[in-house]
Amino acid sequence: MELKRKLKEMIIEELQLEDITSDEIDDDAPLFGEGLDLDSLDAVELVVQLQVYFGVEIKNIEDGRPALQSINTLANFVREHQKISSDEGLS
Amino acid sequence: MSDLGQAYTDDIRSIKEQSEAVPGDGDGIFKLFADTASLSQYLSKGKLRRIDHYSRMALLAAGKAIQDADPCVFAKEETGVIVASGYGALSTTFAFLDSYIENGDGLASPTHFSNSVHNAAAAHISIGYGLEGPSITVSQFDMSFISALLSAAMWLEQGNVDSVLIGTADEYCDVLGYCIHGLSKDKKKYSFSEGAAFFLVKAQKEGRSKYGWFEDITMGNYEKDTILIPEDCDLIVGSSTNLNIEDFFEQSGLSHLLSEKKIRYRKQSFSPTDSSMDAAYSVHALKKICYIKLGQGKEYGKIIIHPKLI
Repeated sequence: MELKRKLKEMIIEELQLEDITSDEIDDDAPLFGEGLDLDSLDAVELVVQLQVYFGVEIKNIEDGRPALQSINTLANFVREHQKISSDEGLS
Repeated sequence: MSDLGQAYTDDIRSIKEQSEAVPGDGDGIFKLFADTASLSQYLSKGKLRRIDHYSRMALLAAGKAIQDADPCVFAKEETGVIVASGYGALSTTFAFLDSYIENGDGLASPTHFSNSVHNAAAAHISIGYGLEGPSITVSQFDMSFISALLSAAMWLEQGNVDSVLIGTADEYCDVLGYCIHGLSKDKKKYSFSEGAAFFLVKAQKEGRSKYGWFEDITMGNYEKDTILIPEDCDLIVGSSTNLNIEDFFEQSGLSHLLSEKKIRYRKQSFSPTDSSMDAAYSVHALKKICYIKLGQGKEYGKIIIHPKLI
């Protein structure tokens, strides 16, 4: 829950969304096209901010497209890749 | 007062005043900031997302000019856009550099970068208002607006467009304030300001003018050229901060105008709008105006304006 809230706050802050709060963003709503109606420049900005905020990198479109569908898919991606980084640090 | 002067006076009522210290100095320095809240009358909030203050000022001034224009003489598909700016999107440029310094080159903000280019405002104006003519930005520091006017005149003369939406925008930011004031040796007291002003211009042969017309637009070097000033003009001179206007008049053989009190001039406090606001200021004159802008690089620009009186 905390991760999703942080993702929503990051999106609102960094993509300069006005008149919307994190509570009003549905976890399953599409980020692009409908829902938040983000565009390609927002996608590039999101990729950068994911790395700044959470230290995870979207390296290619094969990773990016499924990850950037919704808040839920984004949160899953961050959790998975933060775990991978953590495991690599331990090994 | 001319129609143009009245329109200018009405517009500056939206400026909000603020007084705060400039970084690097404890003294209060007077600053004027532009309020762009009324831009929502011209463009929806959704379209304004990601658009920074510099572009918003330009969009607001351009929107007012479009709204004021006679629709019979204004066709969007035949209108070009020229934006003049001395320093461009300063705040966004420094925000981009900050993201670069803090996070590294791979994580610099794409949004800040896209808005940091000087021609962002011109692009937003063309897209936001559906103007289909050519769209450029001219940046020549304190000579930007006059240089842009020359480009507009050339476009109209060549028949590239039927009309040109031409204007200027420059914004204040604390880095600029620090560089000008905080680092200055003599700690002069400056007032800082920002703003935008736009005009819709057409070729003179079109015959109809709501506010007046430009008779002459010239640029040159005032150490090499002889500046011809018509006798029947109100002469207004603007200059950049470090230039001594008395020296200019001495060099140009025009000291008699000073001694005979035949001219009005003002020594400017520093403002990014050095490149733009003088043109709007000059319309308070009641008759034919010869406006001369002096640049720090010995360049000058001269505009002769005939304002239309009420």
